[in-house]
Amino acid sequence: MAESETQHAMTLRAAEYVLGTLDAEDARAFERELSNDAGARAELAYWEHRLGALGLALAPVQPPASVWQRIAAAMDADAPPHANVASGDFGRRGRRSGTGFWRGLAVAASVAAIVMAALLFGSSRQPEGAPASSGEPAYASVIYDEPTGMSWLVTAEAGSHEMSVVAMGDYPVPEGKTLRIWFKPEQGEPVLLGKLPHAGGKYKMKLSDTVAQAMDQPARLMVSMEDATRENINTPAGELMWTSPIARHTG
Amino acid sequence: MAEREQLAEWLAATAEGDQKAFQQLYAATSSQLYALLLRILRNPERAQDALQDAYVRVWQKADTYAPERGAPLTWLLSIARYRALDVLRRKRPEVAMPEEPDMVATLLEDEQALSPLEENENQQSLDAVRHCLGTLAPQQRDSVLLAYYEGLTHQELSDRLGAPLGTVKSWIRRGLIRLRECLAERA
Repeated sequence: MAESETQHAMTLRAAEYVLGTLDAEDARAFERELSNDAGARAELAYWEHRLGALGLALAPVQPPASVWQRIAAAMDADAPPHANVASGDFGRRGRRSGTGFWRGLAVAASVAAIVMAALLFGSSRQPEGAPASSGEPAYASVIYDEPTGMSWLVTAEAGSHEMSVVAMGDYPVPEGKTLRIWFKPEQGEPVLLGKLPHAGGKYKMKLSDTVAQAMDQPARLMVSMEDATRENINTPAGELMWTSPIARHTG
Repeated sequence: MAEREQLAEWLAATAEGDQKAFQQLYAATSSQLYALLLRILRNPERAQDALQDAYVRVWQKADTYAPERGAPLTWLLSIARYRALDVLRRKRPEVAMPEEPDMVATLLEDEQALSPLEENENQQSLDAVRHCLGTLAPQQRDSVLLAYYEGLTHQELSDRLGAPLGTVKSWIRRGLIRLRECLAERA
């Protein structure tokens, strides 16, 4: 009886999660349940399929061609340099050749990662009076995992809505998990920037207006390990992996 | 005319990084996802942004699709819908476009032209849900449909339907339980 009631309650949680009527706290609790319970995952799949059929009742509407163009551009931006045609994701697919180069850099990073941001600024110094947004990084941060020596170099230009992420090697992310990177202002809540790539290579990530404008205020980058199935993500719920201050180029 | 197997093939190839297969998948399914996003978000620009995000996610996590999770199209629709809920929870539109619950309820009674995609299987899935929703009490059915098509929370449903929060929660839960029972009976 008790088992049946438990099953019943879990069925309802899955149904309401798919429907979107669970409150944020209950939704997070269910996402944790998903990572540990195959029964919960099966219920989720059941309701996604069953309620998903309601979406079929709507007459199709052709989206404008510009949407595909944007998707294709986003795929290109995600793809690391020298990627195989088949590559464009963060870790699952056939990786590009050349990770050895980045692995080599990772060793250097393990010696003195933070020095890199200083070197980066130093090497791109502009003449006095040059415009701030002349392609030089104005912000930099190094995320560093001491046990593995893995690091990420994150830079952005002043006023840019894009940041560059260099993953200096491959970081092992457990099955069903994903790394998420957050912008954390000194005063304020973390803002999700996106999925942090964990395979060696260069990547671009978009920045919202809010983040781009807040970059010149004291802030940190945070990285959390989240369940990959977690869709409605507004705050970090998983393990906090690393934080790193964002250094500003003061010229 | 993409059958389930064809969509599943494209999804599998997408998981291997095949951009052409991904483009074919997009061409075959995006109109259905876009219709749902327009319905929930009621703003073409936001619906297009959400559609873009949804397919970027599909590109990134196509390997998590498993045939036992259901038909590819309903899986894709669920990804799009989660994206729409994310958008809604972050920011409600300044000007909500009120809609009578009856309009939503009658949606399922219309003989809509179903997408040519996976027609037979999807028609059966839709028929089953339609039939079972018809067995729910009207308030239960309206609550479920408003939550699905408009992404309303319990509180928003309470406001919309003019019923106490606890009552609305009960409608939703009882409606979902009855839906589950009915679908099991038809299986």
